[in-house]
Amino acid sequence: MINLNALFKSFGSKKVLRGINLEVESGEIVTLVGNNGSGKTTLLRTLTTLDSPDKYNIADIDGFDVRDDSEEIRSRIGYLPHNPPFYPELTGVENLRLWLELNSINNAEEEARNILAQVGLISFCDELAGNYSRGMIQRLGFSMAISHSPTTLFLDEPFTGLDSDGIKIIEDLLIKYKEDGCSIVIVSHDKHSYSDRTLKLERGEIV
Amino acid sequence: MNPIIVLIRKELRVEFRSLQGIVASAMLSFMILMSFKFSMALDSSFEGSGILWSSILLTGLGLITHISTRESERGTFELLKLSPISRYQLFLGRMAGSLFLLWILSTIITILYVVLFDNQFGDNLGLVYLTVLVGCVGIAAVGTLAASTATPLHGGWMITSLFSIPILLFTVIEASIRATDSLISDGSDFQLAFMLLILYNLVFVTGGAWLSELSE
Repeated sequence: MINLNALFKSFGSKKVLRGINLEVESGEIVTLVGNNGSGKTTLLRTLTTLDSPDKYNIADIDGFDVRDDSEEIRSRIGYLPHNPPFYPELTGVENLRLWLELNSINNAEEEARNILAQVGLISFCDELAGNYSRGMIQRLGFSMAISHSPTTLFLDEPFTGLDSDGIKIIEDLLIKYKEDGCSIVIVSHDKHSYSDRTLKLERGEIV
Repeated sequence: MNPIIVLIRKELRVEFRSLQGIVASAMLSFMILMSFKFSMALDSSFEGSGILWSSILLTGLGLITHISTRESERGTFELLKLSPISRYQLFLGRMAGSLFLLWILSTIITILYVVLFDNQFGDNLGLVYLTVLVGCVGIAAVGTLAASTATPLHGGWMITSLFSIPILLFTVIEASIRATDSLISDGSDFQLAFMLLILYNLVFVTGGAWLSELSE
């Protein structure tokens, strides 16, 4: 569950987020739309603790403050950035296993193969990620976001580069996670039928 | 598994599959040592380990900057920052990963040095190698801290060197040179210099971990 009240963030003199108010319940999917530069990615980066907010009245996830409980927040969230980072020298399964081990997940190797099977990457999981196509990287990034069973998912343009099969797989998984009570925020240029609410971000404000 | 061990294993695997950092740094150190060798061809009375430590410092910092820049450019540094581990663990893991690679590099440099400049250290070669390994700890700590801060900036590799070299020269490198030089001249300074080196390492490792935690 996400709870934001009067969240501000600026870079130098540029005010990017101007008093964001947002509540996302457990089991709810919210799509954030908005033009380039409207602050969508900055909002996700702030909520994932990658950027620090300037000020806020409330900014918590599952009751944990984004600034004071950042380590706890990071264990509860899954984040798929617009360009998912990966190590090209490692195989798909090694990339995911590294992430699982950093999240203290037991049987990381077996778990990694299970998750890669869910996103349709199992036949490529022992290949170097450096040889993956854009769509495969997207699937790998998504598998990292969901691998440690987060309570909250932040997805920045999750369907970039995916073929129709990939889109179907990710959509089905999103619906499954929603049913399991996960709060999901999707940044997108399109509206999605399975989304409970679509909010528009304009010049750093939800309108 | 301990996150520090996970990060060390990752760093070694990434480097051994690409060999970008180690091979380039070893080639550079060979050229630095050869340059010194040719520039001192007429001076046969040379004694001292300054050349060994200059080579380790310059190429070692280059290697650490390369590792950090690679991580920063790929966005994988942010991936690591997203993991639910403490910032001090992240610092220690990255530092230890760089340290293992630095140990490999400095082993190559020490061998090249002994071959190119004859073995000035005689029977004390083992102690010299131990000093090299211990000296690398301080270089890895200061280099990792500086590179983590500087590599996201333009010209980050230069800032890393400008920040690290003065700090390391008057601390870790000076103590290391004193220790290894005393082994050449059979002086009695070795123990004192070695203890000083360990003290500097402790300060830099704990200081780096503390500053990383503060940056949260």
